[in-house]
Amino acid sequence: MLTLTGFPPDNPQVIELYWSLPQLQARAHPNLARVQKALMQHLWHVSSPSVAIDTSQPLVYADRLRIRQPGDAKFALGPHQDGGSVERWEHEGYGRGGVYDAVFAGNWEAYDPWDAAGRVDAVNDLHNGLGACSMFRMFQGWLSMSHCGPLQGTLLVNPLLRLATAYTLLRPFFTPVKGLDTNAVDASQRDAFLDPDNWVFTAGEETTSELQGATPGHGQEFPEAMHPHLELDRTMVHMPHVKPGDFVIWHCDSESFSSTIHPLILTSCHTAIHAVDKIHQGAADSSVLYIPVCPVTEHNARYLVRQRAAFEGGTPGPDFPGGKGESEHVGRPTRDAITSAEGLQAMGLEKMVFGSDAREGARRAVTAANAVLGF
Amino acid sequence: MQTLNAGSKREGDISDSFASMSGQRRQPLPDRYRELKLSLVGGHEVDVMDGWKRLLKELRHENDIVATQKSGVIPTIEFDNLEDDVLRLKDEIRKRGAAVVRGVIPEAEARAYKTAIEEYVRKNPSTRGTFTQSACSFLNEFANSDRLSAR
Repeated sequence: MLTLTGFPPDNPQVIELYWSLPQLQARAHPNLARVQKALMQHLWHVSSPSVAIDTSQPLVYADRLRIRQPGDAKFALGPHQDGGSVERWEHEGYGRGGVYDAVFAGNWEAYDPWDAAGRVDAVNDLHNGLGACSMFRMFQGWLSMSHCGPLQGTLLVNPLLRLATAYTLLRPFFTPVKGLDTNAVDASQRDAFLDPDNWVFTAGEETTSELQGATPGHGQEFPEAMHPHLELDRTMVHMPHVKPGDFVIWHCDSESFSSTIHPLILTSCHTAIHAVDKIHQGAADSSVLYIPVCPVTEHNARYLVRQRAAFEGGTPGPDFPGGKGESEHVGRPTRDAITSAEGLQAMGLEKMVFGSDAREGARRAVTAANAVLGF
Repeated sequence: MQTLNAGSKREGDISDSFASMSGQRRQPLPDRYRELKLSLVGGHEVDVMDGWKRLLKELRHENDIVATQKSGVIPTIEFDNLEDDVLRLKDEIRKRGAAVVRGVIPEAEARAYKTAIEEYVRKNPSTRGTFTQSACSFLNEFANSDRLSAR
């Protein structure tokens, strides 16, 4: 953490702002709300009609922003997955919602990453992870404020959501018969190493406590050596070139990272595996607002209560490192900057009305959220 | 999605969110994770083994496609055609787990956001930013580890 004594000489990557006017405006922008609603409603589904979730109106999750100048690689995160790590295996974590039951039963083809039913009850932070997201985000997202393309500080994702998730979950149950000499690896050696016949199930006493890339209290990571069949060196792809006003989204289980030096640092949400360019080779800034896509649930409303207080006091979002934040900032906007009813509702500043989702569970979610918010 | 810890977060910055950047050497996980693993697959070990084999085969096939098409596999939606594009590309977006929605906010308006943020920061030099030194060592480590090794 550093203090900006001038801008942009210190050139940080992530700026600890939550309540600047552009952030409030973007989060409440009717076009963005329309996109969030379409993504939630058409891509996700709820297999049980009684589960209390409304995907027809988004809630705001106040995250930070990034303004990154060319060339700098001070902050680059490797391939990772947000939304916890060991929690994906734990009975009291995602197991509470049975999210990955099909995968652990060996029937990964039946695993549906887009069924929200189990995720409403899943617990993604059992170990007080820093940076862990308290809200259920259906997508993590970037609203671009610049032109940005491959190797210009953009995001990389592994675009095989279900396969990569199933692999990550099952990897700890298998071990190679013959390891790989890390020196002078040629293609045929690599193929032999990856061959299914070279991998055996670790039963009974051979089982270890290892969950590759998972550390309690931290995000899931993907050091390549631990997940060789994902072949992340050739399967992490850059997002296409974007311009200001474009919105990039990825599933909360995606593996991702932002691109800067080596095109192989992955970033993530509950999430696709993702990463960020290690070196930013572009000629201009790469600037984004982090804006995820969150549905209405009672649990999300509980976070909204704390977030609303942070907004009113000008302090950082409750999930993020604390301090006085913007509480003494000159020109910090107030609720008057949010001009639409939908925008105020999404912030928990006004009573929510029933959305277009007529499911019984959707109605219950809105009613419960309003009660939690004191309306 | 639930969180059990509704209290305040411990201090730290974004580098503390991921073990590889926190500078701590990773210790083996406690034995209860071994017990957890046994309980997760107990009774259907053969199904897990069969599923694993199918999964590796499928990954090999799909990895080849991704490696060839690269960014071309990421679906693109036009805001002006939002509903139709999302419905038309639904299966592909679900498979890829990612997409770009173009033209959500007018370009000049979105670019002006950046200028306004910089002005806000200029007026408030106490604004904090994150850039982590420990990330550099992580980078070096990662650059050296892009060969496969068995664990």
